Amino acid sequence: MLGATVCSVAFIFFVLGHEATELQVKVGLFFLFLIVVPGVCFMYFFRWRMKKIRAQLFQTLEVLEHFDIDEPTPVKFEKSPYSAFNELNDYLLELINRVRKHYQANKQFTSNAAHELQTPLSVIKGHIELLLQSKRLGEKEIKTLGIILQNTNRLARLNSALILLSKIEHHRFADFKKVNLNRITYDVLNNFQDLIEIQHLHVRTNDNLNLEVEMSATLAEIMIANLIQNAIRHNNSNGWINIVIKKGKLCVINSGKVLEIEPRKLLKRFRRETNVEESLGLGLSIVQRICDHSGFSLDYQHEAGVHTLSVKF
Amino acid sequence: MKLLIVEDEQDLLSMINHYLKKEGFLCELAKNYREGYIKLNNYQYDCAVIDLNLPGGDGLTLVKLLREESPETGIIIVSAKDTTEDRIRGLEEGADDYLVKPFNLSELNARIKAVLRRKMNLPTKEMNFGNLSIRLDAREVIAGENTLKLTKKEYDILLYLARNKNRVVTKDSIAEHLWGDYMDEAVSFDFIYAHVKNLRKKLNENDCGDYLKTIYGIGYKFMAH
Repeated sequence: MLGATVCSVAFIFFVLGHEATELQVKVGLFFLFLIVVPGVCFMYFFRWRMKKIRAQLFQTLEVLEHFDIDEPTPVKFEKSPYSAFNELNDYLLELINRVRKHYQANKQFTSNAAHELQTPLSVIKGHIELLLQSKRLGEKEIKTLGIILQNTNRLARLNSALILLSKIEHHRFADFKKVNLNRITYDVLNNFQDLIEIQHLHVRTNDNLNLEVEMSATLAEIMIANLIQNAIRHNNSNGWINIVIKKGKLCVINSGKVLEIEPRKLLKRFRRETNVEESLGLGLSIVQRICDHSGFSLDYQHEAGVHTLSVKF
Repeated sequence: MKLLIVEDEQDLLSMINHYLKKEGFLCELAKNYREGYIKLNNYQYDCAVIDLNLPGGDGLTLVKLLREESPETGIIIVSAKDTTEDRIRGLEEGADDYLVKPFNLSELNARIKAVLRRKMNLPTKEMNFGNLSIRLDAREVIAGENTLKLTKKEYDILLYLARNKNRVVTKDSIAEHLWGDYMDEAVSFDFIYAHVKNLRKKLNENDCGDYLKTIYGIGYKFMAH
């Protein structure tokens, strides 16, 4: 297109340069007209078409951008006048549905497995408890039973934490209401009072403001209990905890060890500082999950042994 | 004391039966809604342990029925449902206590005893073991002549162990009893150790030292003589 125009212009200049006859100029102009006018038309037409195609592409991209694998609403692409786009959309739709199905099946499996494990676990635990009462057990047997019990308990705790996570993910907590976080914090602190005293921790609460949040009452309790437990457990003896309740924000700040891994990573499942033995590594990820599903944001900052976990509502 | 246990999980049912029989309770067993319904209608019980999820019907209906028919019977719900809502509903229908599965047998035992005491002022307002006595109403512990100065948690541990006397009580069941479900066991074990150490020291000072026995790696046992 551009080449043809350049050629014809070159031809005209060539002709003019050689003192062309009028006829020659006319022929030149005619050819120029013949090539340039449809050329320009074609150009505009293609530009317009490209624009439309781009718009189609962006439409598809936007649908993909808003796609959330956890959302139950079906993905819908608008019908396009171009069959290629329709094909692409159909293919994407099929892909999405397949991925979603696999994801759901996977989630379902985790949740079912955890639930089904609950009963056998409690039967094992119960029988160990019964066995422990036997008078015929020697020291060695009791020691072995102790190890079995310890691991069964660990399994049971892990399992109930996974059940809890899966319940949060399935929105199974329906007890939504206005929850007073000051009161819950106070209750939780009260419940853990002895743990705080044994470690000689100094607790300060800064809560001049009453913070009320619309959320599940059960989840609110779990969230605050986990945050405070985390602050107690990862503290130094003679350390401190500072709880600040502000407008739309709750912060738990505590002294503790200097972290070796990035704080954000601790919010992931099964991440933990290695020196705390037997920790499940699920506490903070449960808090994270609760925040995700209630529309809050959780932030973890750490600087020279001072840990700050804050929830923004 | 006559108890009714309604639970569809056969293993769990026989375990509960086994444990409670040793405590001197007489247990009747029902493994579905119908059996439970018939037994409740025909006999009188001191306490009933009812699972909510039963084949053939809802355990909550049994709770409601029992509460209407026989107000003096203690009712403990055992269920895998653990939200605050479920608990409240259970208690509103007339249950005296709500225990979430999976539970420890020693916990169930302690809860049954607490419910029985509240309901019937029985077995006793006072538990006596030689020179040690626990006064349940005042939450006091008397050792010899002296009243012991115990913290709330120390008292709770002592009472829990005493309610499961002569039995090994595991540390995790103590942890759950003291701090509830959401406590991480790993931390709590150190705290239980510290509490028991203090408790023992206080008992020792008043010549009651030999009641608490440590079962290494597992838990504790209250030795009643």
